Amino acid sequence: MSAPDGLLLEVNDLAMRYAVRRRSPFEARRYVHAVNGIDIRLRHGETLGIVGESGCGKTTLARCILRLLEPTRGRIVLNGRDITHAKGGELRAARRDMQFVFQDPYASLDPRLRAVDLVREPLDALSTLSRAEANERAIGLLEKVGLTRAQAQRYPHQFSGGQRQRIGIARALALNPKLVLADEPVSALDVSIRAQILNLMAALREELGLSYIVISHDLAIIDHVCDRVAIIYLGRIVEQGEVADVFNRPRHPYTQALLAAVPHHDPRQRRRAAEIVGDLPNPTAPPPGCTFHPRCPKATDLCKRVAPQTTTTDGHDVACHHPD
Amino acid sequence: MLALILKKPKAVAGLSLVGLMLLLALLAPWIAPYDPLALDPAVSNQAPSGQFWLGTDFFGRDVLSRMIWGARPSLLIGFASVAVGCLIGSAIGLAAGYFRGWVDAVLMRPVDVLLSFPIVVLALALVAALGPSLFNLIITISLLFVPRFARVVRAEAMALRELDYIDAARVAGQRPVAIITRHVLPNAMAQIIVTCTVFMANAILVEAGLSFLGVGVTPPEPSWGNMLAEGRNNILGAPWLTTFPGVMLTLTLIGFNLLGDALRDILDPRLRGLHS
Amino acid sequence: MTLLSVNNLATEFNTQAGPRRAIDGVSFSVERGEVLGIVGESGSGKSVTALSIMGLIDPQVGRISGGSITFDGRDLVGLKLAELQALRGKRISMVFQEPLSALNPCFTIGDQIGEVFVAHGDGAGAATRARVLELLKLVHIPDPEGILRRYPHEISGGMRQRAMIAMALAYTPDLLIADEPTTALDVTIQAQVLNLIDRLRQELKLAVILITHDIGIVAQYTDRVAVMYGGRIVETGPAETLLSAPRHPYTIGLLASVPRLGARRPGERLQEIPGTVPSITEILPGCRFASRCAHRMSRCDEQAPALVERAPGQAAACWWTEAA
Repeated sequence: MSAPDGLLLEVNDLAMRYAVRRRSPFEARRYVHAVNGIDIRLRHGETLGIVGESGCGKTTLARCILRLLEPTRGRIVLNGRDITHAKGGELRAARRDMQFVFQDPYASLDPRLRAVDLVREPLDALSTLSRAEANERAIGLLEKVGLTRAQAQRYPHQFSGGQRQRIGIARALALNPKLVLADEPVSALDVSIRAQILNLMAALREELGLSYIVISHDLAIIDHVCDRVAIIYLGRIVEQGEVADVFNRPRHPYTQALLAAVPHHDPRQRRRAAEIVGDLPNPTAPPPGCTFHPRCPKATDLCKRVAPQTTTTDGHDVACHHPD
Repeated sequence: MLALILKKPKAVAGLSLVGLMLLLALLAPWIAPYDPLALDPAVSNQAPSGQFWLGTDFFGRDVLSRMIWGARPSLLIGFASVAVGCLIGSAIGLAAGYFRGWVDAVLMRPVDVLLSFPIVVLALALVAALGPSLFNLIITISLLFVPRFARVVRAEAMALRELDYIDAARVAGQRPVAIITRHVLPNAMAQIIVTCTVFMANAILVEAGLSFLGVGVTPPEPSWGNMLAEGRNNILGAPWLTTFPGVMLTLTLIGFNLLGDALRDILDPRLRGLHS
Repeated sequence: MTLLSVNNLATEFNTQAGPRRAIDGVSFSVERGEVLGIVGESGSGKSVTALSIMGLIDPQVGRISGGSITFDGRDLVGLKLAELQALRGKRISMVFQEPLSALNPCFTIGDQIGEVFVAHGDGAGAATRARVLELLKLVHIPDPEGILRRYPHEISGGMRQRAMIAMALAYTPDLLIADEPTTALDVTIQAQVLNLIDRLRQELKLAVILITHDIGIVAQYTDRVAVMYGGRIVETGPAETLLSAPRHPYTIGLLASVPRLGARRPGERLQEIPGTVPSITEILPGCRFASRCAHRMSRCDEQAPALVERAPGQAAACWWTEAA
């Protein structure tokens, strides 16, 4: 079943564009390229972090990989199977291998279903288990994520945020997926609860041999859970590599600025975070050349004209004309 | 649910009014003092008295009895046409709102056309084409409410499909039809129930209007609408002929509207617990 | 003289089970030119504290039920609405978490900032316009003339938060309360906004109350910290000593549970605080953290501990700390 090269997920030149609403029918069509030429390779058991600011396209990327959206260009191969344009039954079959943990544990659970029904839903839809078997498996999964058999009969509003996220995780695991995508899995949770969920995800990964794609704006969380990281700016990956490499020796000026902007936890090491100037540009009219050049301290004439190609040294990709 | 209703004065008032009308309609044969169709020229146009509590009409028929019997066609047509309209309209609205795209376009275009006619004009045309009978009235009024239900439910479905838990169901591998029946419909139910109560009042009003215009319930069968129509010629000489059916109609409409208002508050989980 | 001193403040809200205290016995003070950080999770009472100082508790749902708020020698509790309004926006200002919902979408940025002057009886003439422009320059908004005419949805989140800060600074207040001012912003923009607040504190000798759940922000931008849990201050002290040598089990647990950038060792788990955050409807006679505390003693369930100084300027409210 699995691809011979050990790749679980391969994303090639993925792009997704949205049409911008026109003010009149005579106006030229314009598009926002939310995701613009992204390449990702994920091996079995590996965890990839995706980092970027709001509006950079990281959520669109996740929704394309999950095929909640159909990409406008490129190819998505999951476990040896091309799912780029899969539809109907073929697409639902692909869901067996790939599941999602949502950011907001309040909005992602149907308020009218009990915890056990929520976890059973993927089994009802895609497995051949009988109702009783599916129920038992659902309760077993809830117990695995730290809830009790009695709690399985409760409705979402009777749980706290952290417990709801546990239900979301149990549901994602129901079909024994190989890949779990998690979009900001702890950002809606209280700080003292986050460690519980991150530890649970780490434990499940070891036990079940899962691969994760974790989307987060919190660099410390990526640092803690991921093997590799991809930094996205305006729909493109600007830097990608092993977490230790990228965070200790960032080569792209944007990655450097992101790392410098994180406030240090030790008050004795006070330094004013080096500011990165300006805001994210308007995505309907991205700057020419390298899209980061208006905010980049190292920008030259070349950067304003030509978009940089991705270069790779020792498995560390960077798309910059003047990398460190 | 019942406990929540009983805690709200608005809901209690609405429910009692509607319940009272239902009882009148159901128990008409037993509580009406006279035969509503029995003519008696000797007691023509009598004012309310000990013998005829609400007076008599030109033909000497007892107004109280006719008013009690008149509740039957009003409520029957109200319930039946809202039920049919709700069933068909909700199905159209759910499909159009959830699938969007060409499904939406194909389903909603006829709906928009139907909505562009004024209610009474459309109703008159339909009844004229079908011929007046209780069954045809129900068909006609149902048809009036199909596009209105479709609009309301489509808006609700469109809002619901953007929610995370609908995406979650898609990721779980659920088929579209299962997503609609398991997730969209149950969560739209509150809105549908509230719409039903409000439209029920509208349907009763449309029935009364059509009967008033002479294309609804055909005399001598009593309905509030045709009682108003018959009494209007002598509104100064025999005001009881129009006053009492008018009051019944108004109370029924107020009852359904109060109930609808209260249900909106009770069924909306965002408002639940705020007004306790 | 101390600018703001809050003593034994209690604020209660109506719940289905009757009035419940969202904060109870909160005491702290802030000096001119100082940044006090208030750290806590949802339900800790940190935002209620801020709203109580601003006199913004909706009398329909709650009220200050005890204690005093002394601002520049005057007690704000029980002040008439007109007197409070004269202080608000002029001598005490507040910046909210979500600038988009705190700004009225129907008016331009210029009109909304000008509105502060109008509200305090200064009219809307050319002089006011010039002052608004000056404020926008003070918070380093590029192209201030252009921004004046823009509507809130037309500018970025970072720009909106700067506009909010400009509005808060209209009359050069003595005290600025910032409630999670950067939670809705990206890291690179967060650094810009926090650096701005810090620069204004120095230039204008502002006293700042910075409410946050982010340990990094506390470490980098505050002088003193109050840690809140379940409506009470459980520990307070200078940022430097409190973060490097916390005394309260909640502070200790919180600091250990947050992942830090560059601190990862492979396979290492985060330290968890078990359980969930208590709701204000539960009445507990003792310490509110007891049910989640590893050092729970019988005394903790019976009697609430008071803040006791454990190190110079650093106090913790904990029986275990006291016994140690």
